[in-house]
Amino acid sequence: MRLFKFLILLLLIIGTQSCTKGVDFDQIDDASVQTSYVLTLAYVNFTAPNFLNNKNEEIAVTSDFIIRKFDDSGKDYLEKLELTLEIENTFDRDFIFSLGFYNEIGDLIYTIEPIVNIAENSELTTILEIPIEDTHYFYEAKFFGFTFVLPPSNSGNTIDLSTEGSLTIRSAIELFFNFRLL
Amino acid sequence: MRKILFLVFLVFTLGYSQNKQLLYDFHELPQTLMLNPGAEFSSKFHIGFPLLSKIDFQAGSSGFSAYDIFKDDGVNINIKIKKVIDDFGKSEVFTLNQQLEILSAGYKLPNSRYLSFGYYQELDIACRLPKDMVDLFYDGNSEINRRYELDKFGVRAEILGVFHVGLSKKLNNNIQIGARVKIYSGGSNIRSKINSAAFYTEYGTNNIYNHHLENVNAFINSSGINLDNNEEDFSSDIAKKLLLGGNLGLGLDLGFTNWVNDQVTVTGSVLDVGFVNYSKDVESYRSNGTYQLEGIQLLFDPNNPQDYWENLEDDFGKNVVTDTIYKSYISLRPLKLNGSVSYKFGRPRLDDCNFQKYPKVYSNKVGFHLYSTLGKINSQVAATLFFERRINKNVQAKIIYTVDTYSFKNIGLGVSTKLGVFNAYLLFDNLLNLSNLYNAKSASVQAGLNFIFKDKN
Repeated sequence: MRLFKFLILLLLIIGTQSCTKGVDFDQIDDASVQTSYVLTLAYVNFTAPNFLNNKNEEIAVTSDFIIRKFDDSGKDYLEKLELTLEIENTFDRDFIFSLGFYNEIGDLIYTIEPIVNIAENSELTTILEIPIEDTHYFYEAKFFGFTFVLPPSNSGNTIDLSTEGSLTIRSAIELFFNFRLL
Repeated sequence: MRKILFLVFLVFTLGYSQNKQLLYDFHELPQTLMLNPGAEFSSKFHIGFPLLSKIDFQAGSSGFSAYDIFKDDGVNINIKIKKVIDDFGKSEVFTLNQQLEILSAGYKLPNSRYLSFGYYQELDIACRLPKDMVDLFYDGNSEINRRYELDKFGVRAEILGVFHVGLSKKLNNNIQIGARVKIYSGGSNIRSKINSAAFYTEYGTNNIYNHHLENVNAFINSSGINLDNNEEDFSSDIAKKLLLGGNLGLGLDLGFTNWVNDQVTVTGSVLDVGFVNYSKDVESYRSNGTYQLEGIQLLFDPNNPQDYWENLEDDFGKNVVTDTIYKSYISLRPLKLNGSVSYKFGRPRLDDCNFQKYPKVYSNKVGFHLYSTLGKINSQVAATLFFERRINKNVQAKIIYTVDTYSFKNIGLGVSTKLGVFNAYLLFDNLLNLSNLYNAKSASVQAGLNFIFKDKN
């Protein structure tokens, strides 16, 4: 059984040469996973009555709010947010659209720039960015506020119940994360 | 943090399963009775060195090794991570199994019977991760219309103490049978499985995107996982539960040895036919349903303000029903099957006087061992060729070559030494990777100390 002893010796030599070679675990400091997730957001489909008050008079401003109820998961890794808006306006009127973040007592703490000017009878796709230095507002906000302003018409057109046309906005948000050791 | 990461990584990249091909049928060692209660082991009595009679560690990944990511080759680590993810199979399995024998002893009884008993602690973790889930994390969901199938995901983690008593009996000159009864004392358990679920995003009609979560059928069972407890309370709580203070279960091992003739032996065993009833600190969830989300339609109605987020949660809850359950649940132990055929040859040169009785002693044994485990997360088969050699009256060695799902080049070596009644053994496989342990996808180590008192009759 010399062969068997030789095999054992050989295996022991292989096994005891060295247990590790050429690894650098400090590389973990440089490891990162950069990824992004798209999420569908809010959409609106306005017709004339949406811009009229109880007396069927045109209103200058209309707003709606979403209460933020998600937790702070990912806060430390969020690097950027991009808000995509697809807008179609068939009214003979211009609109101004803004998305703002509000705190618990309803104070505006952040507005996504630029504010979007929607020209009459237009189609528009725009991407608004919240840069890394402002992403904390996303988590600090208690309410997200969507506001439409209806500036006075230059041509004298006003909206009433018989006004035809619609304003639709479709939106999505893309969150860019960089997962790494903090 | 880095140490923890390293440990987790190493654990997930070292080994693969609970196959103990070196220990199985190594009849010099009383621990072989734990793999086959009907195994050929003879002594007057034995006792394991407390806490040191068997330390067993096996862990692994079916997909990649630590070396694949941490090799010092000047290539950016993120490029190496990307390659690992590109090479990720349809689903990969990560496992960890650790056993520590606290107490082990045995005693020969009249009528060719041998009683063995003891207590060991076991940690068992298995996780199956589908590639689609990895892609969803790594690449995000911006690939529109890509369908992510999540149904292969499953995880099981369990820590338990096992009290056991076994009896083997030689029925005649050809057959020995054995059985071992186990009382499991479950410390903590979590198990989860997604039976079906798919996620995809498509372009919407009313909004830009439309997200779909289809055919969700998933569950999570947990016991003893109270995240509000601090670490000290948690450890002390687990320790109590491991000593019959918690979740109890029952198990059975059965095995046999059949000496077909002087030289040919057939063995077989089935292990851990049993369950643990988890009843302490139970929290379980079961989800079923389908949901699609095109977004939140804002109404801008000051007379009827909406809590859109709550409406969304309610709508999701109605469509994907999640039940929270606090009832006890049964966790089946992963079943293990062993079988072997061996052939003995060569006459002993140094220790003829020790073994005069049947079965006759030969200095060499060559054989084939088949192992299989059946579990909800991970089932596998492994085949092993082995050669066992009594080198002298104090040293016995075994060499194995194993082929399984993950490796075609697993060579292992086991050595058992004896000085009087003192016995020490060391068994380790994947020798070819010992020159670079980090490159190993599979490795296992078993070591221990025993006192074995031979029967002078």
